[in-house]
Amino acid sequence: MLASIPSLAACKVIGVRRGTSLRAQVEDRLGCGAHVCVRTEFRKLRALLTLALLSALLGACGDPVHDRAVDELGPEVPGVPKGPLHRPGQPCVLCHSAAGGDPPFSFAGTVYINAASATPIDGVEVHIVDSSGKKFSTVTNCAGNFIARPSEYSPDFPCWVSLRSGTVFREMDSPIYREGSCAACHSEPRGPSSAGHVFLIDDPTIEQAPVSQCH
Amino acid sequence: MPLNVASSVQIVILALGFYLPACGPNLEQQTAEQDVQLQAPSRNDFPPVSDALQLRCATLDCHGQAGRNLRIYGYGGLRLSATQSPLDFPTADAEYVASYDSVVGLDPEALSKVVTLQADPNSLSMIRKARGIEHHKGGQQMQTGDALDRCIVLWLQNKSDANPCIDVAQAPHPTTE
Repeated sequence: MLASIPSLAACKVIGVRRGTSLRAQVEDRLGCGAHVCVRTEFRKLRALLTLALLSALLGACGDPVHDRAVDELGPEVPGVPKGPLHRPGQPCVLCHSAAGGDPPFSFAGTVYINAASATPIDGVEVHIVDSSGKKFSTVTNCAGNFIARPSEYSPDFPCWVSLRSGTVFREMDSPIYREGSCAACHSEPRGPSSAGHVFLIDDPTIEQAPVSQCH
Repeated sequence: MPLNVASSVQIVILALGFYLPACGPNLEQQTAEQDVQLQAPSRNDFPPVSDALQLRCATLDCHGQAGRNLRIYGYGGLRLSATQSPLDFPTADAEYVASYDSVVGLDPEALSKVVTLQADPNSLSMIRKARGIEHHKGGQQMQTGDALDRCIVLWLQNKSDANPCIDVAQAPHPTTE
């Protein structure tokens, strides 16, 4: 079956008539009249077909590790459309990257009220600075999410991050060296390789959480 | 008459078959290498080095990951105990030991030559990558002679000095606001 593909494809590409010798048809169509010319054209066709076949095969090969990580995120929550409010607490850049296919983010994450709370918090300022001193600031939305797009901020790693809401100031202990998703290192549950989710209030007895402006 | 593809492949395979055995070390060399007692730098002097590596190399998004060949355990990063998280407790002795084992296990033969023969530290992939000589996904992390570089290299050469390691921890960084 494979052996028949070049000749069939040749017919299709060059647009020759069926029922006569393929070589004669090609010579007639191309007006070369010489066997050398036909051989050259067939070689070109074969090379093109090989390239097309390889491209198709390579295109079918995804990254199974990435695909599995995306699958493990599960489906969208019913009632929450894809957009700035979806999937709080998940590693955003997994999908929002060249590999993921969604509009890329430099940084993105979700801020929660405190370490024990699963309630995200809006209106928190997120400040980022990179190794060259380039800064970016944004504010969390009603899902507690924040986003930095490459058009807004393209940092030179490492980066340092802090949160502010009024007088409450929280600074991340360690720098970020390459990861754009907060949740890649700040996932739930806390464990040997996760610091737990990002939060604003460390000690509720002395720090006041801001009042949410979202309904 | 031009050679067809099959003939060309056969010739290449035959040529490789003759060529490759000639490239490898001979049996005498292999036996001699096996007889060498490998040396590693001091484990007692490693904690300050590990603390410096922790800050500069071992965040959870880099060498603070269990899947890496070079993995560093400690406060602020990957923890050895399944019940601890990055910010729970200071780095434990067992974590220094685990990090030490990881570092000295990367290039043991080359490391031994650096320790005993004062061989060029650039013979170690860890140094080449951190200095940016060899491709490193995390980029260049030190330059020859800077604090992190001296901290690591002096330890490798059994001339440990904790001061440059402490300097790494105290290095200022840009402020976010």
